[in-house]
Amino acid sequence: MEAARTIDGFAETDEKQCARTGEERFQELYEATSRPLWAYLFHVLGRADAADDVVQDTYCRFLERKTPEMDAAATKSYLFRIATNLVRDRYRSGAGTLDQLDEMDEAHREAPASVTGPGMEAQLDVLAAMGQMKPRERELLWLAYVEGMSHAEIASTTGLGKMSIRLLLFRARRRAAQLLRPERTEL
Amino acid sequence: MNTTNCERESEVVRDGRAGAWTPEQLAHLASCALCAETRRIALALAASAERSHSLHAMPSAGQVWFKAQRRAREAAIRRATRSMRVMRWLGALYALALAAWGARTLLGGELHALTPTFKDAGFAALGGLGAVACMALGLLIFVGDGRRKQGLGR
Repeated sequence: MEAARTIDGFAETDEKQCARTGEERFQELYEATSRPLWAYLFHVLGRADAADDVVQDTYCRFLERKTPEMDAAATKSYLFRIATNLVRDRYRSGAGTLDQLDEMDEAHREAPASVTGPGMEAQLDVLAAMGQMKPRERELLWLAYVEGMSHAEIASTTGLGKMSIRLLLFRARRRAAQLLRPERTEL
Repeated sequence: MNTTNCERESEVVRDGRAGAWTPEQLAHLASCALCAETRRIALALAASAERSHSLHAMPSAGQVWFKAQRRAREAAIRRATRSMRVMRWLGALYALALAAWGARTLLGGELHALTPTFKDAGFAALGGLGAVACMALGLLIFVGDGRRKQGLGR
């Protein structure tokens, strides 16, 4: 709720808001959205440093585009859409070679630097399972089950057809259910 | 309920994150394999997200803001100098063509060709047309850049 209020603040245009500097408004938006966005990218890309880069690029693009006023949900969805497109660009560019994709999947299987401490095994299981899934499956699962997006929102964020989301999500969920070990994920 | 989706799936995800289950929902979870599977995956992913949040140090908003400002400045410089770069290339090409024509005339002993004749007037007209085309192209690039900047400022 608090996050939604701060994102809304970014789009407000009354005099009080206009008087504030763009940097302050950006800071509020960043505080409200950067962590969920980073977690999404970390689990899709499998690497903390890559997630850091894409998070920064996402906000740079958001600021460059001088977007029209949007509510909290639309702003967040827009950020996730930019990030998803950047991830695709990464896969398509030099990073799109099979070797690099294997390397990324390998990174999912290995323990990343940020995975230590209690609950580590469960998180490693999640990361290993994500590593064995297709990038699109990772995106769909995360957007649906962590971000709680509707099928229409997922379609808008990923650029996939609204009608195909249901089936793709079903397949991704089945695959995740096979890969995640019940004894560790049963909370 | 069908074999691929349960209509209560979104409810399961939403309430699962809040951790608030009514007895009716718990009964549904016990009877619906799809929702039970959804709940298990959603909770595992959410726990992993929570851990990632708490363990990773994000770059500060200020860092990202300054990076965006720097990128915007660099993009503006690139846009502003693009037309100059194109004009420089066109100028170099034109100078090269002129030098080639001059060398051919001088080395070929065709000095008499430097005196104006009807044929040379044709060459001159051709060169003039080339220059006018270059100027028109340059003007188009400048106008295009100006319009783009106006569009960005909107």
